[in-house]
Amino acid sequence: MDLLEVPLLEVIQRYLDDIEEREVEAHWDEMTEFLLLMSVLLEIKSRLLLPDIETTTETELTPELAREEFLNRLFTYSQFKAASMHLRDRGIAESAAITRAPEATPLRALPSLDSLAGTADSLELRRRLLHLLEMRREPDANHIAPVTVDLRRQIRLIRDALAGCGRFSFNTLFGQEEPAVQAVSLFGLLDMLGRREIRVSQRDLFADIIVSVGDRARGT
Amino acid sequence: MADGKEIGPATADLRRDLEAILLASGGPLPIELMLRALSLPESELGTVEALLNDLALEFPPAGPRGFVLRRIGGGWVLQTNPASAEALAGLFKLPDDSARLSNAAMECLTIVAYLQPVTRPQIAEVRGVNSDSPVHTLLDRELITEVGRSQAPGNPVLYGTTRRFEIMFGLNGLSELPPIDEFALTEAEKENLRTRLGLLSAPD
Repeated sequence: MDLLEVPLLEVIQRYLDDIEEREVEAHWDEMTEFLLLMSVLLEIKSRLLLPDIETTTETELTPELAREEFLNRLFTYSQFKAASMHLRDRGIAESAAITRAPEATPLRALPSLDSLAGTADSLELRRRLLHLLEMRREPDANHIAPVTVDLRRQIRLIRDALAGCGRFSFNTLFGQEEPAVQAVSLFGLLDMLGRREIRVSQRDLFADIIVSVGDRARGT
Repeated sequence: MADGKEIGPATADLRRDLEAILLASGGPLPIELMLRALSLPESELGTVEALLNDLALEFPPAGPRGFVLRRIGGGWVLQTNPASAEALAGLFKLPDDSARLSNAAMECLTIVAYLQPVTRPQIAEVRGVNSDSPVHTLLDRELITEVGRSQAPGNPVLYGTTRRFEIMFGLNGLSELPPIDEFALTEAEKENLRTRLGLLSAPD
């Protein structure tokens, strides 16, 4: 492939296709940089297309120098790009481990306030008091995976179960789920019960709930 | 105790206390901070370091235990064993900070890591494109920080990596980064690139 024959229009069209494909998910940094890279390529192409023009200043690039500079830039860039990929792999490997969060336990790396009683250095006392106050932090619950549950999804699950065999046991279907999922499934049952889509029976208080197809679902 | 007159706790007790501190710290703990917490004089640094090395043998990376004891970011940290990641992911959200960095940000971070202290124009020169936006991202995430001013015209800001960077990538100092030359293209790869771009040097 000759650099002079790189079809810029085609490259730009493919770039636009890529933007449309990725929609808002795309990295805007990379897209902007692509445009800048294209402008560099355009400049170098221009120089290659006009090889016989005499340079007017010492600092202006000749086509040969432009080639060498372009290549050197590519080589250096590819070196750091490869290193960045290695670093990213390292970061991903690191993410397989968790360091226990200190939660709300304030860090007491400094002597107790009792030991400071009567100190002559009021500035030091003030600094340490401020430090102790700053160490208090809210509990960080980011490490706990949130339970996502959707009422419509649970209703769909109930309908699917009924479509299969006409009845099912609540504990069999949802007994192993998180409490939040069980609660939303129960709301789903109430909703469907109100619309006479299902019938429920329970032998004892807090016992398993048997769900079966309701009158409306049967079309009666 | 700080005056060094009192004798420190017995080795077994010290070892127990170190384990407790490491578990509760929630991040890499410098050895100096451990000494302060245990009210030990600096002369005990060697003892504590020996105990930590001993503990590290008990909780080695890729070992059979649920914990590993590592030295990263200039401190010691007790972490879950990476081999247990799948079990942990069932209950906890694993950190994904590095995976969320764009390729542009990762490249800038790598350039800063290797060339620091480095200015923004120098980063842009290596990448061949303006790098202001990814540099801002890295500053926001506290992976790089301002470390001074260059003597170059305009006195541009110099950037360096932070301790947070070392922790995120499991490094105990920049010397643990592999040499940048390891990532250089081979002569054959360079020649191949020249050929593909139609930029082979003209014979004299």
